[in-house]
Amino acid sequence: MSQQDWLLMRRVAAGDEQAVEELYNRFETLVYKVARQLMPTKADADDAVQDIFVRLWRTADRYDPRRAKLVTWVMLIARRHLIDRLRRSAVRPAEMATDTFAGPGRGEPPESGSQHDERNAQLHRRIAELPELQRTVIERAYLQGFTLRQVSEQLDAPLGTVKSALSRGLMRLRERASADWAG
Amino acid sequence: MTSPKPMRIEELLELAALDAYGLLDEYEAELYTRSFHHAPVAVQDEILRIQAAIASDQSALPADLPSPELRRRVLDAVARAIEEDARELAPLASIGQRFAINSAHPPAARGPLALSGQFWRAAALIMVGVSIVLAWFGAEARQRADEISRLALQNNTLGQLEVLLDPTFKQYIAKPNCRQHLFTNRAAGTTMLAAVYLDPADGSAFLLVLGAPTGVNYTLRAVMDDGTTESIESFATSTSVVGFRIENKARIMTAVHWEIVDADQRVVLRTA
Repeated sequence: MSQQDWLLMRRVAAGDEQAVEELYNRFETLVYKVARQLMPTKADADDAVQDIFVRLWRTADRYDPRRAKLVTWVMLIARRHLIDRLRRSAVRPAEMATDTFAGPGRGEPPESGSQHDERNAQLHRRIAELPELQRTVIERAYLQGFTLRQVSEQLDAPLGTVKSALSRGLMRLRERASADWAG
Repeated sequence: MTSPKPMRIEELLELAALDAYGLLDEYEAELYTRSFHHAPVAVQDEILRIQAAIASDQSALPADLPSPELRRRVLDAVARAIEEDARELAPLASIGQRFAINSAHPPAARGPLALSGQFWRAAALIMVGVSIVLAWFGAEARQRADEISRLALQNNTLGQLEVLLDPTFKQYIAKPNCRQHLFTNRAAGTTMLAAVYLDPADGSAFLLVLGAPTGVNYTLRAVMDDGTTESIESFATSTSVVGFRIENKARIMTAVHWEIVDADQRVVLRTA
């Protein structure tokens, strides 16, 4: 699989539109979902997905299968772009309590689509259940796009502590989400 | 100033998720990558596995699905970006016109060509196409493909390609009925790459060879479905890039294979 993925990305790098389509077919759902999670509106998510795939083409020649599987690479590019957008966005409050964290709504009326609202509500509940430091670090670093150093400064906590809290918090979220899904 | 020590394995595993999510800052991400490459292969494999599982996990993501309209929009946007990027490369065509090419046909007029984005995209596809063929022969071939790509992108070869891939060739790759056939190596020690482009509409073809050893005679021939072979054109190599157009060969458009043979009639390259 990794050789095939390397070949695919080489073709993408060369501007092979069929290869680009193949890449889109494989990852459209995953990229779209994470965009919906992090962007305030559906329109913003659509714009972000478009930019992400253009960026995937621009960086395709840097893909190294020895360093990451293709799904990891694609999602890394996607998340980095989404975090960049978050950081450029003017809508990012300095502090947020979990119960007021509007997520994709961000003060705007919630998007229609009960499934979307339910999933986001679920995510917020799971985050609210985390220990305070993990919850705060996840909100700021993972959902709002602050760097770990910025979070460390904001919380006046050592960087190593922030990193550990984020890592453990993300692991717990995944475990709980997987358990809910399986249950 | 000495480089910081690589991260311990425990640290690498603990931070795998943050690295996968792109949440490490620039310095830490670089240290993580360096430490990753220092780690035992088993640890690297484990990290790749963990990160892929994290990246593909949808359980915490919304249930929304992308629309078909978004698909069209994204593919169009990427196509536009590719086209725009290729147009910006067009001025490179004026570089490296000093080098003569070997061909039985007179070279096209020199001078900067108005090369479209489609031309450069096709040229890049040729490089990748042959790279793909080589890649099936393993890591050594992959290295060779990189060398060929670098060769092709050097100024002098770019100049050769510019002359070879003239508007005539552009017509081939622009036509919807133009068919590309890539050659694969059939003789040990062969490192040439080649492709033949066929236009059944007018019975013409264009042969492109990269990485050819110099001072060698070859013949392009067609293998018909009854097993007979027809010699198309003989050529000698004085440079590593050879390309020429073949006219009025309507019958051989139906060839099942194309071959390049050496002076001893040994098959060096063959299409699938």
